[in-house]
Amino acid sequence: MSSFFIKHKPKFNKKRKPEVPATKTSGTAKKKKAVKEESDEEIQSDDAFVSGEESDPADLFPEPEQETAQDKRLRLAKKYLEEIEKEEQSRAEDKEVHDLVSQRLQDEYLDSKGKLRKNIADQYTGYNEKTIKILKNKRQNLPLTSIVISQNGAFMFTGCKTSFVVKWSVPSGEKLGFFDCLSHVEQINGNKRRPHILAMALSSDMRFLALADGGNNIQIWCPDKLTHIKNFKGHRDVVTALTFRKDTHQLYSASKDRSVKIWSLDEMAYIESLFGHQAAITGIDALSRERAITSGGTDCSIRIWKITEESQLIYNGHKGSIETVKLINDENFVSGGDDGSLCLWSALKKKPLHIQTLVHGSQENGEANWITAIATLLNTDLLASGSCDGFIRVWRTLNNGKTLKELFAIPMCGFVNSLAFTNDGRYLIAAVGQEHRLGRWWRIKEAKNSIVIIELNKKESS
Amino acid sequence: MSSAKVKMGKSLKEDRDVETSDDSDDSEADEQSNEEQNQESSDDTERNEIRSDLSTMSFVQLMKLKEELGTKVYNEAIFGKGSKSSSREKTKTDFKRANKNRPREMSSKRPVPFLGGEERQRAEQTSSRDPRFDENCGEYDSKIFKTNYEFVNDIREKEVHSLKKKMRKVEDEEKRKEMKLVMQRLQNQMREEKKRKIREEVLKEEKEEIKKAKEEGRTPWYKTKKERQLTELVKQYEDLKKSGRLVKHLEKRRKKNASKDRKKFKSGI
Repeated sequence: MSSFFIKHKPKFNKKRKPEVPATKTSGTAKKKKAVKEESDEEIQSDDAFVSGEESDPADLFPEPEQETAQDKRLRLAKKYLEEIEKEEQSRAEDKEVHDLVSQRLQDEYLDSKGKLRKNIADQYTGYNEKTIKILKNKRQNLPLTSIVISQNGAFMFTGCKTSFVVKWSVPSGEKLGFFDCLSHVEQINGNKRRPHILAMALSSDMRFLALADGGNNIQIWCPDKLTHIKNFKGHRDVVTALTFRKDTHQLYSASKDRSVKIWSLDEMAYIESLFGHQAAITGIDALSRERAITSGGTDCSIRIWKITEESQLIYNGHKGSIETVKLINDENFVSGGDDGSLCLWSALKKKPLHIQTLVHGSQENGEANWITAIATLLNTDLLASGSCDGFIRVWRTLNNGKTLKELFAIPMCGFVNSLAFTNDGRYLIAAVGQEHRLGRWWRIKEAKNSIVIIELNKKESS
Repeated sequence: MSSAKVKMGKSLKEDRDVETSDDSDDSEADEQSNEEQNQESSDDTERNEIRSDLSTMSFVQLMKLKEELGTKVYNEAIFGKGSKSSSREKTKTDFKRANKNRPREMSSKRPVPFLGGEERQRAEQTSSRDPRFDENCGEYDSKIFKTNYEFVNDIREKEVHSLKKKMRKVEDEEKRKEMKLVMQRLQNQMREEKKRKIREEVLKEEKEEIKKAKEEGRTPWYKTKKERQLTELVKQYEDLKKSGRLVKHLEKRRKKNASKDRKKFKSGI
């Protein structure tokens, strides 16, 4: 230890050196000292010590000597050093500029690809109470179950426990159209089941809208003309979740039959099935990579499906059933369960990075309020979670997704069955109902079945 | 044609050389791999040559060549070696983790049962029950058991029949012996079963006799074990006499007793 700390001292500690005749040292010593002062300021205290030793009177009045060979060498060395210093300085400036330019180019590239990570959650201060829009429609008089928002944030589609899907304009809150999916629901023994829209997905280019009608089929609709395109058959049980791979026409569907299926909408065909979950799948999400992430309900596992490698990564967590999972970016994701906890994950760790328990409190009987919906703003540190405790909570992730901090809570009566941010992060949209998305175990009578558009307040960023 | 044949033979020989040299030490591994690469490229050129040679040949000639060389060598020379094995390697994936904190990885192509389904299946498979010793089946009554499992006798009979048939075909001496033993055991069991049935019937008759006597007011005759044995012996004697095997049986018995006596006598000394 000690040797480590005194490592640099002996270099300048003249005490140790054998005594040299005073007359010869006087001139050179001073010059050396000057060099040292110029080159390095840290060793001043050391120098003072050294100079304190030299109390030679000859040192105070140096003679105008003839320049010796040694002195000349010293002078030249100094000059050379100066030159190098200048060069280095200019080079450093260049490098800095180069660094900045490359950094910016990289950022722009990532931004264009939708992969740039930004920390923007600290700019959010709250929500605008005056501009909250509550959208209702007589065709959607039952609890709302799902929302999808277009990539540009102009449109949204909402589904509920009736057979109608309504198209809205997000900024104005205007109804743009609707369609009825009942006519394309499969018949069982000549009877039709009452449809119940469980999940929807919208392709990035607004060409396809996929919806799960509560049965084994997936319906594909055209979001522009609101016409039916095709029904996908293949799942053996109720389809529970849908998502498109970003910027493609590849559809991933998850079902109660424990399988994930992949469909290509370019060819309008089934591609393959992925197996691994041991219980009904509850949630699915995907980004631009050829990977899907699913939450496996009561088997307490989250799985990332590497589709090209035909393999899956398994993450275990939560105490009850895992209800939803959402990707934050390519590496991190967040999940919510019926044990009322939010878990933050990294793709490289089998266990959660962080567990926030009883996020939405618990009921009178001591049971936790289930997390029913999570929304993430992609590639940022902003999250929102919904349950039935009367609040939507907005969160910020810190330390690379290792901790969670609540930013604010938005009062919202009823079950928050689906949550979504618009891509610019300006609005948070919630689908609210009197009942849970999947059943009628509880009913909150005071709640209204409606869509709520909440404008979020942002600090002016510099 | 002959040139193509020679070339094929040559390429095959070289392949074998490579195979044998693969077993050598690790220190030579790098050189070895280089050599193999060279080998591969040379293989390709050779194969092309062979193909060009073959392209001028007629189908009849090709067939002949294939017959002479054998299809395996022929295919190897034309399509290259190990085209199959490479595809097999592809399917084999390594799911080893970099460290234990990483998530598990497994194939997504194998369908899995629902949670707990696997265990339930396993439990169903492993449980084997013997009703004679299972408390769930109540107390063991040999009579009830035998009547319930009457059908086993039919199975035995069938099995003996099929074994007899099979024995005719089997040439291996040891197997035959084994089969014979099994058959004998089955036959013994069957004979014993018959005897048991007869004994049971006799007992039944006795009981009925007693009942009858009681009803009529007579004092019933309860047979002792010894008396029962005696009647059985008499019956056996009569049966043997009827079938004409009496002399043979007596001879056997005498021999048996004599041998027993001899043993006793020896041990006594």
